[in-house]
Amino acid sequence: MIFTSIQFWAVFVVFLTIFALLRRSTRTGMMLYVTIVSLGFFYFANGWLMQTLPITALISWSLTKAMRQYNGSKRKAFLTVIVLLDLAPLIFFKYANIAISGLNDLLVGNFPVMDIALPVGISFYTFQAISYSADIYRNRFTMDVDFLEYIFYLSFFPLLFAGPITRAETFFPQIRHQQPASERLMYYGLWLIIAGILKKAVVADYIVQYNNWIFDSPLTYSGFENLMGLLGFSVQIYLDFSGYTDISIGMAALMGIRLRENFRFPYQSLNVTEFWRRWHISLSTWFRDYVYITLGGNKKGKIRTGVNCIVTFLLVGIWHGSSIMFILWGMLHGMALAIHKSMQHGLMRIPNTCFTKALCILVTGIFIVCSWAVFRSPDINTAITIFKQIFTDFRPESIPAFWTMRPTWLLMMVICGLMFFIKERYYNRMMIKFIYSPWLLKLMAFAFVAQLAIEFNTSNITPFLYYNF
Amino acid sequence: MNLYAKVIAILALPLIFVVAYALCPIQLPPPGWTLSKLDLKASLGPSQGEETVHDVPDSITHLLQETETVSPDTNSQRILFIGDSMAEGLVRRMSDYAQENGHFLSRVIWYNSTTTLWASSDTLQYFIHKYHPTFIMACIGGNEQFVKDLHAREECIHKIIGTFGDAPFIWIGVPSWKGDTGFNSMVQKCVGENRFFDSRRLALRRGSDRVHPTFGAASLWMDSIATWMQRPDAPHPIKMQRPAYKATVKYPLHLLQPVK
Repeated sequence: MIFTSIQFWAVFVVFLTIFALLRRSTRTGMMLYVTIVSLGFFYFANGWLMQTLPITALISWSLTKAMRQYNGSKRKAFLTVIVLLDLAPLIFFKYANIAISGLNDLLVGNFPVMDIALPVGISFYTFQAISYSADIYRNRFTMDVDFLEYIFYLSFFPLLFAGPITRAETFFPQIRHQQPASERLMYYGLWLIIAGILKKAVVADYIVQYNNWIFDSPLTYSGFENLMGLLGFSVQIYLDFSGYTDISIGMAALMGIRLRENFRFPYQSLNVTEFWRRWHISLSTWFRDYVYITLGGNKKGKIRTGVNCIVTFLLVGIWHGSSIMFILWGMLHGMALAIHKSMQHGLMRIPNTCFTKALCILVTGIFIVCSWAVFRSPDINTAITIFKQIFTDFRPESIPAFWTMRPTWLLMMVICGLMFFIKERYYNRMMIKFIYSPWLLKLMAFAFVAQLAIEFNTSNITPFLYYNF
Repeated sequence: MNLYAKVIAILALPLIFVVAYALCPIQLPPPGWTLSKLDLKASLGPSQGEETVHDVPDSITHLLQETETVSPDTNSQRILFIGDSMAEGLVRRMSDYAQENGHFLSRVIWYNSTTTLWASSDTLQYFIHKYHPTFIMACIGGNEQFVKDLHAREECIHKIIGTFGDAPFIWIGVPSWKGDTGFNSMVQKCVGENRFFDSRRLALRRGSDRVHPTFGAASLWMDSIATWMQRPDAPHPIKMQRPAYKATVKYPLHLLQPVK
C-alpha cells in the first residue's frame, strides 16, 4: 500500500480515529490493535509471505531473551545464531535466484529459478531485529521487553516498508511510558506528512517521467539532456525517499512516537563523510555501528580504516540489491570515504571560508551526482553512455528548446535546488510557524497540498524507490 | 476541541471533499484554471500485484457447449507486429516463424510507448496503410503495468482495435515481473479471451534490468504464443509451424524512439 494513495489515506483516518479512542483506555489494547493493523498491511502487501515477520519476531525475541542469561563465548554464539537466522530469509528471498542464475551460467546448467517474490519491507525489519539483539548483547539496551512490545516494534507499519530503521533505545521507552502526544508533536507530524506528500506525490512523481527516458535510452538525447536527467534523478531519489520517511515519521508522531530524522539536507555536505551523516541516517548509522565498528572502525590504522570503509560500503551496495551496479556504487562511496578519512588531517588545515565551503559542496555534489548515475543505470554501458553524451555531445543549442518544452520540470528543479540549500534554521522556523499557526490554516495547507498532488498526478503509481529494497 | 479530533479533521475533511468532488458532476473552475478531479475508478482499482481470478466455468456446461473450430488459414499472411520494448525479443523469433511459414512480416517497436500513444498518434494507421496487413500481432502494455487510469486506457485499446479494422489480430499480454494494477485483465476484457495471450504466469528469464526477458526467454515465449495460436478454438488460426532454422530473410524493422 502506497502512503500517498487515496485508499491508504482513508484507511489511516479510520485507523487514527480508533487509535485515539483506544489510547486512553488500555496500553495493551492499543498495542494489540496497532500490531494487528500493521500485520494486516504486511499481509496486504505480501500475501502468505507475511508469515516471515511474526516467525522472525518469535525466533529473534526468544533467542535474545535466552542470550541475556549468558556471558562470554556463549553470549557471542547466541548472537551469531540470531544474526544468521535473521539474515537467512533476507538472503534467500533477495539472492537465491541470482545464485541459481549464476550457477547456471557457470555450469552451463538449467536449474529452474524459483517462483519467489521479495517480501516488501524485509530488509528494514530484519535490520531492526538485528540491531535489537546486538544492542542487548552489548548492554546498550537493557530494558526487558515482552513479545507484544517486540512485535509491535518490528511490525510498526509506518516503518515497516521502507524504514527508517529505528533503534530499540529510541522506540521502547516511548511505548513503555506512553506519554500523551503533545500538541507540538502532533502538528510536527502533520507538517512532515504535508512535506512528504509535496516531495513525493507532487515533485518526485512528476520529474521521474523525464529521468526515466534518459536512463532508458541515453543515446537518443543530447549531452545537455543527459545532464538534466542525471540532475533530475539526484533530485528525484532524495525527494522520493525523504518524502516517504517524512510521512513515516509524521504518522508515528501522530501516534505519539517521536522518531529521529532520516535526512538532514544531505546536498549541503562538505564531504562524503558528512554526506553519510545526513543521507539515510538510520541505514548509515546501522552499518557504522554493526559493521564498520565491528571490523575495527578507525582504531586499527589508516590502511585498515580504508579497508573497513570499502567493505562496509560494499555491503551497503549489496543491501540495495544484487545488481553489479549497486555493488559498484557502494564501492565508489567506500573508496571516497577511505580517501577522505586518510586526508582528513590535511584538509582541516584549509581555511574555513565561504569560498572553500562552496567549493567543497560543489566537489562533493559532483561526486554524489555521478555516483547516482551508477546507482540508477541498469548496466555499466548505460552509465558510460550518459557520461560520454555529456562530454562529447553536449549540444548547447538544445538548451532553449529544452526550456520551452519542459518549463514545469525546469521550474520544479530550480525550486528544489534552492530549497536544498536553505539553512536548517530557516526550515525549522517555517516548521515552528506552521505548528503554532491557526487550525484553519493547517487545514487549508493540507487541502492545498492534496489538491496539488491530484493536479500533478500523471496517472501512474510510481512506487517508492526504496520499496524495492 | 480534542487534539486528536482536530488532527483527524484536518486529514479527513480534504479527503471527504476530494471524494465528493470526484463523484459530483460539476467541475469547479477557479479563475483561469480548472480544479482536477480524482480518478476514483483508477484509484480504487485493484492494487499493485493483485491478479484477477477468472470464474471457473461449470465443468458440465463447459463440456456440453460445442466449441466451434475454425480451419487454419493456410495462406501466406502479411503480418504486422507492433509493440513496445517488451516485444523486441518476440519479433526476432517471429522472423523465424515468418520465413518457415511463408509469411511477410513487418515489425514496429516503439520504445516507451503506451496504448495512449498508439491510440492518439497516427503511427498505427501509417504502418497499416504502408503494409496492408492481413494479420496483426500486438504486444503493448509493458509501460502501463502500474497505471491507475484503467478507464482511459480501455478507451485507447478500443481505439487501437478499431484501427485494426477487419484484420484478425491477437494481443500478447506482458509477462508480470511485479504484478499489475489490473491492466492485463482490462486488456483481456477488451480484446476477448480468445485473442489475448495471457503471459502473466510465465516464468521468463529476465535480463540485467530484471524486467525485459532475455532473447532466449523471449524465443521460448514466442514458441508458446505460436502453439496457442494454433489451438482448435482460435478465432483465426494461421500457419505457425515451429521453425527449424533461424531466419535469413531481413524483414522490415522500424524502431521508433520515445516521444520527447
